[in-house]
Order: sequence, then structure tokens, then C-alpha cells
Amino acid sequence: MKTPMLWAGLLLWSLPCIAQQNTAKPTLTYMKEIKPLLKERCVVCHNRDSVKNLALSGGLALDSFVALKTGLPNKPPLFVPGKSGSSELIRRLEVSSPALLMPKGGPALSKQQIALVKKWIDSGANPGDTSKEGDATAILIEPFPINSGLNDLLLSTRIVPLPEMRDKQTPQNATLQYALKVAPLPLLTSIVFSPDGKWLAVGTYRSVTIWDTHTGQPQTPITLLNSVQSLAFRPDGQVLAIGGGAAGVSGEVRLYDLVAKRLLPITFKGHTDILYCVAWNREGKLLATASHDKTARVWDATSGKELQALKEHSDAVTRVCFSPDSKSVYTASLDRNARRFGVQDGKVVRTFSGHAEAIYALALSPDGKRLVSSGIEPRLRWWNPEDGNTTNYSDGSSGQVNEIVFSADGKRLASVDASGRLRLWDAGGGGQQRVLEGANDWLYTVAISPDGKWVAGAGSEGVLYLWQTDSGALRLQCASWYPTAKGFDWVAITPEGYLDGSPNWLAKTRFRLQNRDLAPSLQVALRSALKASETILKALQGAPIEPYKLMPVPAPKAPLPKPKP
Amino acid sequence: MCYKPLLLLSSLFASLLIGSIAQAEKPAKAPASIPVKSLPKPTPVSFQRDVIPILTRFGCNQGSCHGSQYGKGGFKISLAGFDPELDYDHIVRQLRGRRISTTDPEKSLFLTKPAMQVPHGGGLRLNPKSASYRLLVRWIQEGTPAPLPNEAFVTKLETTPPERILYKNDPPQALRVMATYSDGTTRDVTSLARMNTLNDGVASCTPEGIVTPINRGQTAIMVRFGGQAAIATVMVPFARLTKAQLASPFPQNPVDLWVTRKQRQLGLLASQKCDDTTFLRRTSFDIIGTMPKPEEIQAFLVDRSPNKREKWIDGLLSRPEYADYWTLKWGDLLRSNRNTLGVKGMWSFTNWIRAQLQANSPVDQFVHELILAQGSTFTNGPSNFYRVANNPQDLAETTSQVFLGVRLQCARCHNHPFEKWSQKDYYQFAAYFARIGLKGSNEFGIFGGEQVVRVNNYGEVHHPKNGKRMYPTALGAQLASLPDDKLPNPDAEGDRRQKLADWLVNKNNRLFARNIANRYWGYLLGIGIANPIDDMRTTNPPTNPQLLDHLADVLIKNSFDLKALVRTICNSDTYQRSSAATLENRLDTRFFTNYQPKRLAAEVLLDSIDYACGTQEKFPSLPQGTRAIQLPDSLVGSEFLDTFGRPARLIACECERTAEPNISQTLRMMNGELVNRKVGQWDGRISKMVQAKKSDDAILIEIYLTALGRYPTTKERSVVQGVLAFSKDHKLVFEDVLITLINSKEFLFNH
Repeated sequence: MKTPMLWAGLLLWSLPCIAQQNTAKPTLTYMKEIKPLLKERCVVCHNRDSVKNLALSGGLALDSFVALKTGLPNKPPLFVPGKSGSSELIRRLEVSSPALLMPKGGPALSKQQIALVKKWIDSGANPGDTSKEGDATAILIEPFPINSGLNDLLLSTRIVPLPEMRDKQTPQNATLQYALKVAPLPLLTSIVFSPDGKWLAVGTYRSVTIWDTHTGQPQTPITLLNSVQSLAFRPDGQVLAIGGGAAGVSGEVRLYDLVAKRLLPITFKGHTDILYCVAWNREGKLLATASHDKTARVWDATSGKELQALKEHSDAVTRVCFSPDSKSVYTASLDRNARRFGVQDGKVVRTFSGHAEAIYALALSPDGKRLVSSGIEPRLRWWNPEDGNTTNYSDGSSGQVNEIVFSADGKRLASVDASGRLRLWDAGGGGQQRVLEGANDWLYTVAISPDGKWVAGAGSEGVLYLWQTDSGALRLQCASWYPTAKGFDWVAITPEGYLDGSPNWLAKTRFRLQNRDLAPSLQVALRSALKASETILKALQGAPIEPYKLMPVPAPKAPLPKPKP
Repeated sequence: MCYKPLLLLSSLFASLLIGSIAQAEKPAKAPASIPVKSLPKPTPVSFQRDVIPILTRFGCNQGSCHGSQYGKGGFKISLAGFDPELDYDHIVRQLRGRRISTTDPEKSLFLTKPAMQVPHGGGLRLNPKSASYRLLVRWIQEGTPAPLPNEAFVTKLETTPPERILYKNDPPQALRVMATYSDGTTRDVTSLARMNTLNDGVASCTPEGIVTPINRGQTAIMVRFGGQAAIATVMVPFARLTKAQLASPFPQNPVDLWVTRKQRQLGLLASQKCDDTTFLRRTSFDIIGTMPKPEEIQAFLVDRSPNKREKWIDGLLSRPEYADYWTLKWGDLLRSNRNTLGVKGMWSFTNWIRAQLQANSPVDQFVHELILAQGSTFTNGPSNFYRVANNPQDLAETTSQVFLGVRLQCARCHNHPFEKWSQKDYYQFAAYFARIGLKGSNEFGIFGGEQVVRVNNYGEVHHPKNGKRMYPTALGAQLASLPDDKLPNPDAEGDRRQKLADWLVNKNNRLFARNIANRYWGYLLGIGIANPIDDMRTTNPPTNPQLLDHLADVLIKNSFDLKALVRTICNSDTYQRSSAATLENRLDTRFFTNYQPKRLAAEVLLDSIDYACGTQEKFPSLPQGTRAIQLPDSLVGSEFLDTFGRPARLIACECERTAEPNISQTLRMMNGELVNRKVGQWDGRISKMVQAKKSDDAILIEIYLTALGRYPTTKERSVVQGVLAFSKDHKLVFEDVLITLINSKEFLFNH
């Protein structure tokens, strides 16, 4: 069984160090021979984080020499130095009863491995140098996944096909599509605009891409060790907080300095499962995090010190945000409750109960006077944050609501849901203003630009969609991949059909009509005609763009097959 | 995907073969290169066809794990994968893709958990080296393709061998499971099907389908895959019969023939036939719920005709008590009771049932009339069927359980875990009852409580998951593959129940005939061919399918005449076996080698005590002389009857009437007020005989004949005579004898 992933998770995102070469020693020691063995087969369940989970660990930890020596309270020790025959550790590795045999449910240790443990005990159970135990583990940085490119990523345009491109099955309203063999793309979990509106940060598995909203081009992504789930710009726009982790293993926050373009050496340790949300307070001094480990925490952002651990929720915490005065944090959880905690004392000030299903989305208006929540029940619920009463409902979403955000002026609300639609709501009366379509699968995340003119949504397709708020028009569809030695791949496409991107991906784009690629000669011609970075700029300035009109191209070598009458 | 590697291999071999032929033709050159061209591309991994079977096979979606109502550890999927769309969302979409990483498949929590690379409460479920693990990896690599709406589904499962005799120390038998899909393809699913033995005392079965005999008996291996279930029968013979025993001719009577065939497969030999007095008591209780009279016993014993047993059975079938006794049985089944129907409704229902049995209406007509009933519940008895259960779901469950022996209840909320019935089957069946309405009537005054059952021109049943309108469909019927909007209007010919009633009692609907036959066999023999007798699912197989089919044929050939069915069963040697087990068949309880004694039903027991004591229990608001088996429902107060398991008629399950012993029963029989009062009652049997100065011997004989249906043995006589010789009050002695007999097992049981 593989373990690097667990250890990579436990020491998530810390710098790698190179394991020292073993030099042969005459005696067996815990550190050299036994610890790696236990780590490989036992520590997955028997570790200090899971000792309280009796079903998993039986209360026993085996991840340090002290723990191994201590064994279980009120029970005989696990091993008696010099006497492997009377050691419980050996008995449980060899016993025939499947209920007692360890590792539980897994194949038993090999005879050689058991012999090694016996030999170690019989030779006096030498611990070796345990002084550095706990932080001496090397972590393995896994290479970035290479683009599998098994499936087509499809992006629609409004380009009307020429009559000769059609066949009998082609519907009247069919338009051309772009196809790129780059899918499956990793899903996009978080998007956020910088406070000045210049940057749009997009989080995904192991990376954050920052798009320049002025040029429509991405910067080389920030790469990380594990999944990214939530992004938040510090209110001064200098630092980006990146929350995430490894599911089932750990959760952490990293801070990225946008000026120095590097990750800051501050760690926030404590969460034992992935983070779903990270939030700054207005002054940019405090960070709040929400995790699958059922806790929310408040941190000092400069030192990484944990100030509060809020453990009242009985299921994963999905969202967290600060009140404008930084005195409270609001949390939402799968346990169907939202809560308000005091930052100073960590006590529950208010519980917002009424949802019959898990809450996935929560937003507080900029003035701190209205709280909105939603989730598996698609209706938005408005609360008075002071007394905890429900003040209003907004109906209209179809499918689980995954995220809600207020616009900076507090007048508008945007939500995204499992139907792949982005909805705009009037934050005053709660009425639905507009439904923005274009995405084809679940949307997880939504962001409104600080000036309120743009709204972005992204989700499980791995595509970032950018709409103009007032007109509701889709203006841009963007996708990108991890950086490799050769560079970094991306593409941005306007619905009118114009595109820009990395040379590698531009060369991969194909034009399709109804599951059918156009003729190869046409592909080249169209590609060069439609590559237009200035048109992307125009789109980002909100200027109108005419859809590209196909001209009948005289094809010199391969004439198009004439459609049969 | 067992066939894929096979396919790959075979094409490899094919290319090798071509390669070698080509080589032979060419002048020898070394090394030969073998071009392998156009290997078939692996078929894309399908969520329904490949992924869900793995989740089911490794127990991920079982009821005790993530398939439970609230899931486990925050991860919930549907029980046995009955809802692929929901499962897909929970695995792939929910929690921002927490469980899947398409770009780094093996880092997906969906794999690291069951492979125990991170802590997993369920332990190691999936070995990273296994084919199933690799297939899941490939599914994620391919971008986790979603469930397809038109994916082929499993229509049939077959086990090889379907039936196997294994002696106790025989080597294990491997099972193979083939699935047939709706597109006509077949696939070996042995590695994916879930296999369990139904009785691990008889044979064990590993998850891989290796069956090992354990101990004597018969069991079925339940095989489940893709929403279908099948069984393989495993017999572990009780003994090896000698050649002579095997060579003895089979009986002529088809009932006995099938029973004997099964017994010989299992190395069993039947007991002798029972003696005449046992026969009389057994048949009288089973057919009319009444003790034979002393004079009838005497006459039967002196009768020398060879067909006297046949004649006796015919006699019983024409007795008026037949209707009383079977009204009680059917009243239980149809749940006639005043709490739900009102007193008037209850009487009207019970009287209608009695009339049907009195006239011996064929059971198909009886059920047909019941299903199509409408009108006043007070004046039209059968319409009360629609008041006992009064919504489409309850009606579907009652109808299927009572008349078909199909317990549909599970499928109300999820696909049946041990059966082929899906939620869709359930609601399509319920749709037959969508338009039945109850309307209050003032015919009997404002508080009269009369209800009128009528067929509305509105009302539909919808699928609870997708909200689709359900088309009324018979259980197990394959709808023509018409799109929903092209189906004919179910109400075009009026009452949609007409189609249901016609299908239900149709001769081709084996479910109906088999269910009635199994119930009656169970009533008469004490244990069903399929047991429990009202749970006729594939995975609760009959111990003797041919016997059950024969009995169903008997019922159909005799135009659903219930008396003919009773006659057939009671005239068989199997029914008339002695309850005394032989050394060889003493371990058998399921294969009818000896008669399994059954405790008298509460009502029959009370009547028998009354008969033995020569008394008559008076029931509130019923005329003097009403017997317990004539009671219209269970709400006629009687602590005695309730103690002995009289059912409250609240659920449509045979299990509601119980013969379970309890301490209160024993105390009531030994010291109870009722028994004590009756035994010594001033106008009781003993008082009258003593007053009439009958001889001690005559009194004793009458006590034995009325209580146990037989003469006292010489030993019993001499014991009683011994006591009488030392006693001044003979009446007291006879009372003691009677109370002793009443407390004997011989009295309490029909043996």
C-alpha cells in the first residue's frame, strides 16, 4: 500500500527535505527499521489524530516511540523488551482470528516483517535517536498530472455554419463549437476578484490561476501540493489566502504574496480535513477557516496562531465569514444550522435553524445587516443576523445552491447552483433579476467584480464563465492547465467565436458542428482567422462584438462534399 | 468486465496465430516480429454497468454502510445502487468534488478510503492491485462519465449449476453467474454478484461463490446483481439411501410423487401413515376447526371400506363449520375488523366472506369481485376491502401480499434488496388504485359512518423520486417499449382496476395460483413449501418447486375450487403421515417426511376446551351458542383468545397470528379461571355424566374421546382406575383427569 500521500498530507505544503541515506548499523532500532514498517501498515489508523475515534484506532496510537511504548492505558504493554514471545504486538500480528488480526481487514504482515519486529524486541527494543521524531519525515512532491486529453472540452460559439457544412441531421439552430482534446479538466472550486478588480483568481486541484481582467491573459499559476478549495484576497489586495488540503487527511491555509510573487512562510496548523472556506476580517489581520473536520477556526494572520477553534457544529462546516466589526464570525454547516460565534470568547451567540437540509452557501451583506443561506434546499433564506429570525425567502433556484455572494455595494446577490445556472437577485426585495446561462454542468463558485459590472461562475466542467451583469450576456469562456516544463496552457474564447490562448492549445482547437469535425482545410483557415487577442480585450471592456461570419472558402485541395439534395 | 481481458487475449492469440502462419510461409528469419494491429479499444467504463456493481460487490452501499438512510461518515449512496443519478452526484459532484480528482485519479478519496490509504471506518475494502480498483481508476481517468439514460439493464440472472447435491464431505462447488441485459448481451458477473447462503448451517458460500457443504438439509444460495436476484439450490443429503430404497417405486399420487422425489434426493425416508383416530382429529381440526364427535369416531373405526378416509374428507368439506372456520382464516387475511370498518361494515364484510365460502365460490371469482368492489361499505361487503387499506400504496401492498404472496413494502422507499421489484414496479402497481375514492354517506345518519367506495375520474400515482406519472402495470409485466406519452389511456375503458382484476386471477398468472396453493399447504401441513407462506420471493425459494407447481395446477384445473385443493392435499399420503419421526427423518422439519404438529389456533383451542368440558363460552353481544371460530372479528372481548395469539387484524401478514408459547398461556391452562370453571361446571360434561350415574369406564372413555379424540390406552385406564379405587369423590378425580388431558401436548397440538 502506498503511504506517501498520507505523509504528504500530514505535512502539507511544507518544504521537501531529502531523506538521509541509511548507513548500516549493527543493531536494529525503532527509528530505522520499525517506524517505517509501522508507518506503512499501521499508522493509517493508529495515529495521534485518530486515538479518539475508537472505532478506527481502538484508542491506540503507533506513530511515535513514546506512543508505541505507552500502548493502551490499563492494559499490558505492547512489547516486553527481550521477550517477543509474550508481546501483544507480535500476538496481534500472528493471531489466526480475523477479528483480532492486525492490520484489520488488510493482508497480514509478511513473515519477514514479523520476524524483523520480533528480532527488534528480542534485541532489547532499541529506540534509536528519537529526538527528531515527528518532523523528520520527508515528503514526496508528486509530479503534476499530465494532461490526459482523453475527452473533448466543448465550448459553444454563435458562429452560424455555412449551408454546405450541414447535413440532414443538423438542426436549424445549430452553431459551431470549439473542441479541444484536453478534458477532463480539474473542476474549479473557487473564484474571487481582487479588491481593485484587476485580478481574477481561480482555484482548482493543486493550483491557482490568476487571470488579468485587463488583458484576458492568465499569469503562470501558483502551484501547490493539494486541492485548493477556497480563495480570499486580503482587503488591501496584497495577499491571497488559499484554503484547501487533502480530503480525509488535512486542511491548511497558505498565503500568497502577490507583490513578491511567493508563498509566505506562515503555516496554520490544526485542521484535520480539507478546508471549504477561508475569509479575512475587514482589517486583514484575522483569518477564519471552515473545514470538513466539523470545526471553524479563527487565526492571527500574521503569526499563524490559532485564536479560536469553534467546535459546535456536528457536521462539516461549509462556509465562514466575518461581521464588518470583526466581533463575530458566521458559519454554515452540513448539520443544517448556521451559527454566529463571538470572536473574543468563541461562544455561540446565535443559531440560525430552519433549514431542513445541509447548508452549502452563506453570505453576509457588506453592511452586516442581512444574512443569506441556502444549500440542498434550493430556496434562499434571509435572516436577521441580530435576532436569528427568518425575514424573507427567495425561490427560483433549481438544484442545490453552492455559493452566494453579495455585490460590493450590497444591492445585488449572485448565486450558482447544480443546474449550472448563475442567478442574480435583488438584495433589497429578494426577487430574482436574471438567469445567466452558458455553463453545462454544476457551478460551484461565483464572484462579482468590485465595480459590479462583471460576474464570474465556474464549476465541474473546469471552465470559467464571465458574464456582463447588466446585459446578462456571456462574454468569455476560459480554461487552463497546470504549468509544465514546456510552459503553461490556456485558452479564452468569446461566444462570438474569437479566441486567444497558448500556442499548444490553440493548435489543438478544432471546429465542430454537431459531433462532427469540420474539414481539416477549414480548421486551419478558421483558426488563423479567429485568433484575436484584441477582440478578447474588447470583450473585457464590455464593447459589442459582431459574431464571426463564415465566408465560403474556396478549398484548393480537398473540396467540400456537396450535400445531397 | 471479465469479457474484456478475454477479448483482448483472444485477439492477441489470433494475431499470434496469424503471425506464426505468416512466419511459416516466409523463409526463416530471426527474430520474427509480430505486428499486433487494431486491438479493440476498451469500451468506456459505464457508471451503471461497471461502477455501481463494484460498490455493491464490496458492500459499500449496503444498509449497514453508506447505503443506510443517513449514510456513513458523511457519505451517502443509495441502497444497493438503486438510484444511479443520486449516487453519481454524491460521488462526483457533492462537496466540490471532494471525493474525485479527475486529474490525479488515485488521489481521489473515493479510492484512497476503501484502499485504506487514509483512515476508513469500513476497513480495507478494495485492494489497489485488484481489477475492480483499476476499473474505478479508469472510470475517473475517463472523466467520470455520468449514468446514461438508456444504459442496458439486467433482465435475468442465471446460476450454474442451478441445483446441486453435495454430500457432507464433498469438495466445494464453484458457482458461476451469468447476467442477461436488456440489449440481449450476456456477461459473466461471478466476480461482481453478491452471493450469500440463506442457511449457513447447511452450506457456506464465499463472496467469490465457492459453496461448501456443512450439514444436512437444503439451502439456497442467494445471488444478487443489478437489481435482479436468483438462487442456486444446494442439497446436503441426510443419509445415503441404499439401492433397494432408491429402487422402490414412486407413489402414484403426484403430490406424494414430488414429495418423495425430493426426500430421496435428500436421503430421507417418510414415516408411516397415521392411525385412524389421529387422522380424524387432524382432518377435523384442519378442515372445520372442530373436534370429531365420539359417535363419529366409533363409526369410523368400525368402517371397513378402503376409501373411508376419502369419504370422511368429503363429509367434512360439506359440513357447515367449514364456512365458519375458513371465514376466520380469510377474515384474518382481509383484516375484517370493526375498528377500521365500523360494526356495520365489519359484519357486512365478514358475512360476505362467509357467503363466498359457504357457496364455495371459486377463489378467482372471489378475488375478482373483491378487487372490483364499489358502493356502500354497509350494504356491499367486499367494498370494505377499500376501507381496510384506503390509499394506492397500502392497497398495492395488501393486494400483492395477500393474493400474490409478494411483499412489496421495501420498494416503497427503495428498490427491493432481495427481489427484482424496483420502486417503479411498486408505484406502477399502485397506479391501479389511483382513482379509488371513499365518500361519506348520510344513509345511516350523520354519525352512521357509512362510506361509499367509488371510482373517481381523477387521481394519479407519481414516482416519488422523479415525479413521473406512473402507468398502471401488472407486477413483472414488461411494458412495450413505448415512450410514456404513447401509452394507451389507462382509463379509456373505465375502471382501471378491471385490467388488474383480470390479470390477477388469470390462469397464466402463476403468482396467484402458487400463492393460494402454498398458503393452503401451509395451513394444512403446518409449514409452507415456501415459508413464511406469504413471502414468495425469488430469494425465499420453495423447498419443492415441482410440488408447488403441481398444486397450483390442481387449483387451476379445478377452476379455482378451494375445496378441491383441500381434498387433494388431505387425500395425499404426505398429509396423512404420522407425526412420530423415525430415527432417519427426525432431523427433518421442511421436507414433509413426518407430520409437523401445530398448536391449535386460539379460537379452535377455546372451542375444544368447551367441547371437552361440555360447556359453552358466552361472548359479549353475540347470541348464546356462538362458537369461538364463528366470531366475526378480533374485537369480541376474550382474554383467553388474545393470550393464545388471536391476531388483531391490523397487518396483512400471516405472522400476525402467532403460536408462540408464553408463560401466561401455561398459567391460564393450568390454573386459569376459565379452564377451572369449565372443567367443574355444574352442567358440564362430567357433572352430567356423574349425575346420570354412568359407569367409571364409560365416563373415562367419553372424556378421552371428547378431549383427545381417541380411546384411553390400557395403561391410562389402569392408572385412573387405581386412583378411583382410593377416592371417595369420583367426580373430582374425573375433573383432575380432564384438566390433565387439557394441559397435555396431545390436546394443545394438532398432531
